[in-house]
Amino acid sequence: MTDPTRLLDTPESELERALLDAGRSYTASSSSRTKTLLALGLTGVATSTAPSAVAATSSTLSKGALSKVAVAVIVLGSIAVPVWRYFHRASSAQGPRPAPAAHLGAALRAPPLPVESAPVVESAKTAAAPLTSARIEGAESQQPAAPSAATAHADSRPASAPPLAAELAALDAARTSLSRSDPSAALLALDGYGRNFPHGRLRLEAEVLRIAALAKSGQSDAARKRAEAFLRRHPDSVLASRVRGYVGL
Amino acid sequence: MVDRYLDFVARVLRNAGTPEAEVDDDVQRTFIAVANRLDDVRPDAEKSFLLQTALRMAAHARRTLARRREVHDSDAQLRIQTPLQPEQMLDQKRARELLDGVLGEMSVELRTVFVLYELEELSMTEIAATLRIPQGTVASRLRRARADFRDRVRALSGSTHAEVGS
Repeated sequence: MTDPTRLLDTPESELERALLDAGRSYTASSSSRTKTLLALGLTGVATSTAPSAVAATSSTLSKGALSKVAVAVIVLGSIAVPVWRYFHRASSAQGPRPAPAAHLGAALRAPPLPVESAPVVESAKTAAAPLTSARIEGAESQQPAAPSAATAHADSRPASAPPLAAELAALDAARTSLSRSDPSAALLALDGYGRNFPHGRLRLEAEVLRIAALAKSGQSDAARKRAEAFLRRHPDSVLASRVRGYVGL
Repeated sequence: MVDRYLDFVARVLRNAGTPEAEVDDDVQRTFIAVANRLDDVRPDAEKSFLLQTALRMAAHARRTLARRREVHDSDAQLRIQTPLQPEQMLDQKRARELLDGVLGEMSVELRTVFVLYELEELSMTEIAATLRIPQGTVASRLRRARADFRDRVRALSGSTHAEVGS
């Protein structure tokens, strides 16, 4: 049985083409990624998402998580404003500034970066999840040209981050080994992941897989120790229930 | 997984009948549902698992919408009865509204197969596996869905003479 030619390849009218194009070109909203990662507990704080977007996050987020986000935004915003003013004054005191267009270039053409964004990215270390580079990437994707503190922080990353697909493939290998009841191979794959992606964006998932592999290989104490540490750091993560299940917590 | 499939999940939800205002929420619910069962998902089957979950979410959203419409008139139906100007036909936002209207009038079975084949470009074999129905049923539904879709689009544009290709 052969598949028929798709309608978009042979549209019988411009209207039909427009409708099919509209259906195929639909994309997630700009804030959907951040909201989804938040809901999954993968980015403790809403990266560069504006407070309004955070407030609009759905009911799938717990009230606890939302209140943490709100507190982080307020506290860090109050720190960010004076810091920004300090540096702004310092740069003003160094003499006449060049014309804005030459000084800031593309930054002025970009939408303004919320002052909360930089410290929110920084704060993520204490807020919940350790996927710092993922959060920074999210901030960059929403405000690509702004020379913000977020960008400066991002400079601490390796110059060329490995593609996400490579990380996914590495973790898929570990998951495949686990599903074949071969935790030793999974641990080897995870060791490889740690070596190849020391700043990996999927470190949280890798840690969960390691806990599972340790538990399944009979290293219960090590698994439990790592599980407890994970749950202390990420109590609200959607991965927490899996971690508890692996070690019977 | 979120980066790889975010747009895919959002698109399936939207085209399968989730109202625009609820897509973000259902995207989250879809990924949460899959994350909670990640141990049951083969590494090469994430997309299929997400697709099935998204289709269930959309079905729930459609039922909720239908209950609301028992009280209120369908805005989409009112919109597509408005005569179209040529420039309106190509406007992206308008096209989206019209597509919602057309898909919304199709039966759920036909709509699902149509969306997966024409918009997601899945093969009939993949659709049969996803929906757990025979390939012959997929082919039959697709044939009827395409005819239904074209009839409705012709009615929108005032054209009645073209034939449905297959």
